[in-house]
Amino acid sequence: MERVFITQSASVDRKALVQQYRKQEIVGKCMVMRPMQPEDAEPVVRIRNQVHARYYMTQKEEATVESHLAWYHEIYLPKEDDINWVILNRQREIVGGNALYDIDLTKGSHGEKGRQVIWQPAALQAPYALESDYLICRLALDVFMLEKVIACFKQDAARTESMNKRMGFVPDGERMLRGERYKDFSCRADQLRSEELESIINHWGKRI
Amino acid sequence: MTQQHKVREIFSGCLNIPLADIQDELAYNSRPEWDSVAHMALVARLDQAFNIMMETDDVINLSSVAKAYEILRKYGIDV
Repeated sequence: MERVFITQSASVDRKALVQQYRKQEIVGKCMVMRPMQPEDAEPVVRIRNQVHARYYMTQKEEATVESHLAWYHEIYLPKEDDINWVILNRQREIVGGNALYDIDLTKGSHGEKGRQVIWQPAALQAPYALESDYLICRLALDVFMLEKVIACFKQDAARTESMNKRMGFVPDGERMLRGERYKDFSCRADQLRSEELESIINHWGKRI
Repeated sequence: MTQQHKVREIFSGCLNIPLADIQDELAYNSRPEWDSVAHMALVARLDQAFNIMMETDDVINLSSVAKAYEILRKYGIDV
């Protein structure tokens, strides 16, 4: 698999790069990650309101188009350290979302991947979860040159934990959020299992 | 090596579960190791090992080791 991103030199303006990727699509083998737009609200809300998604995101209330748009305009747009994408299948239909947020470019730089949600009927049709997570890691580690990517998930999210371990993430502590215990895992560039993951993604790129 | 043993080895490698624990009854909902990445890996490895390209319905129906045998037979694999 050719490198999706160009590894940056140390002198590059990384803050500008983050802003650039808030507007720029990332094209993978099986899907496209497009920065989230206001017109995506209806499908994004529908996907986020799936029961399993609400549970793992600790989302007590059902999201609405209005609440999503309020979050988008009042919280997301003014932020400069967050990138939210919608995941498009090859027909450019929205099948999910993913994010890299709390991007910290200072010493000990890191960013957190999460808010991943896939429309359940599409989940086994292509590796949307895997490829979007992998591209986010590559973007964070190769382009933004972060020291590590963090994944934080509920302690009972066994499949999420398994998936992150498979990608190369290792345990990196615990924290309490909204009254619930969460696990932190992290991954540095030399820990990401690129060869194994690209082999799977490349095969699926030929399948679909 | 029998074809069933070959299938079990693929499951073992993709799910990171010891070969001895790969029984025909092993099912998607029974182990957290069978996450979505493992499922994608499983399909890729079975496709490659048996030189087939599973249809989407079969990818979705691949829910146990026994089901894998059944699906492979559809593609003419003597398993």
